[in-house]
Amino acid sequence: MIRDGTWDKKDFISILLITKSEMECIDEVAKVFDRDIPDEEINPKFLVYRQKESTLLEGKNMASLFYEPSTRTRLSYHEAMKELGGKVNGFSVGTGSSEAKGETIYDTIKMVEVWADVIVMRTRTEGAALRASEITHRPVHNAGDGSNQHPSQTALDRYTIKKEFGTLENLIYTFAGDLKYGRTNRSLLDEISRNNPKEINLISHPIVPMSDDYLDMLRDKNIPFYQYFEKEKLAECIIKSDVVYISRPQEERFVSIDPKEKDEILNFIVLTASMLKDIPYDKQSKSVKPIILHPLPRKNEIHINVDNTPFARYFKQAANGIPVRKALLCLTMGVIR
Amino acid sequence: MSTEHEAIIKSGKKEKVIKITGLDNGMVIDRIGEGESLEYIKILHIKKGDPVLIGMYLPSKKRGIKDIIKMENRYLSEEEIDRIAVIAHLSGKTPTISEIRNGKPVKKIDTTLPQEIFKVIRCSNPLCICSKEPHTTDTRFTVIKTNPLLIKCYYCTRTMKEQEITLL
Repeated sequence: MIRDGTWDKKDFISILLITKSEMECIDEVAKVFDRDIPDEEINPKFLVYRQKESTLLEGKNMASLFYEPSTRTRLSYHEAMKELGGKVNGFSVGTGSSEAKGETIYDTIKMVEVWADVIVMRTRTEGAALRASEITHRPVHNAGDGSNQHPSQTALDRYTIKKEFGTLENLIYTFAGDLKYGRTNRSLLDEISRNNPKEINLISHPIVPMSDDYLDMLRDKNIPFYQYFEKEKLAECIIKSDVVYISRPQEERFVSIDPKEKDEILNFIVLTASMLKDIPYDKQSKSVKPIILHPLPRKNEIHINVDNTPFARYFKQAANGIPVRKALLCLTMGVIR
Repeated sequence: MSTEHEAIIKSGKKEKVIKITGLDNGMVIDRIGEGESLEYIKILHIKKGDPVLIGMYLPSKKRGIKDIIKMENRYLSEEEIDRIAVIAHLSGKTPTISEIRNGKPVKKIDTTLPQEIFKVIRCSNPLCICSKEPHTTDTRFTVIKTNPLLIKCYYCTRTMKEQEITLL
């Protein structure tokens, strides 16, 4: 069924500021740019955009302000912009920004809005993209703000889950890894929690648990959830889950954690192919469960021997970043309505 | 109705009446919790030349003991009223605020905690934009629960409990 969401936002800052209908809209527009999707599965009113994809953002400039390191997000935003005919200018951490001279985000935004049609920013400072969206009339995309939000990652996570299961509803989810500092977990939990999940499992080292405000949110919404601090629970939860979302320990944010505990956290979640070997799957069927997702980059929380199992979806998930970010650029700039 | 206040002070067997003169125009913050008036004075940024009367530890029929502040020709901004509401909520003793015109109280000002609090509370997250760039970004919090107080930063979305709250 083609659902017809509507988009009514200038910016893309936080999942909490985007309605369910707008998320549906992102999915529908992303399909236009997804080469896996045949024409007949695209909303007919959007089909025209597939034909003129390479010129949709002709003459438009993107300011790419990356105050923190990024590979996938930055490159997929750049690639999305270029493939739509637009141009990219900006900086990534340590290369040519005036932040080192003490320039405020306020001043940087005031400068780039002169030439930029859209601003994509990643910062260590939390709430920076939201503040930027108040400063400028140009569309602002939050490409990650500290431990807070990473909404474009959530949009592509959601798109990947929907591509697999056709829905986000009534599924069992397991989140494993650094649940305290991993912003992708928080953003995805915001999205899942409004899509009627069947059950949520949260597995982490006790030093990096999901924050209390999110646990309260799940309680308030009467969502069945279980919090585990034992690494052995991972194998148990994998068997019953539809989606297993693993994330990297955010080592760069471990300021006051002692080295011994840091080591424990780094080796707490390690998924290997042997943990998946007894999970039944139908070789003929396209649908497999659970699917293993990871926002990448990974360290050692998913062994490379998982890559060739039928459950791994993290590289496909990363590839979905380009059609989803193309959709986000077109929608926020008002090119697709 | 006069805006003059009287307090009877007992000293040994003697009783003494202290009169706190009324205002022509200005604001009275009355029924402040005992000894808390200085907390309010700190946030009011009284300028040189602004006449202000402060009464502390005065007997009160309703409160037992109270403080009072009277400010001549000085009116409170919405931001200052919000600050007072936060201090009052944290202390658990809500004062009354009256606006005085021509010697008469013309308006009672509500000091219940607003749903959104602007430019009053410091965000406890040092990585929040309002902590890192305070000159360009005013703090803004949403009240999630009032008892005990739980607030959420509009920018970084972190929640803060009552014991974590500090004023700007």
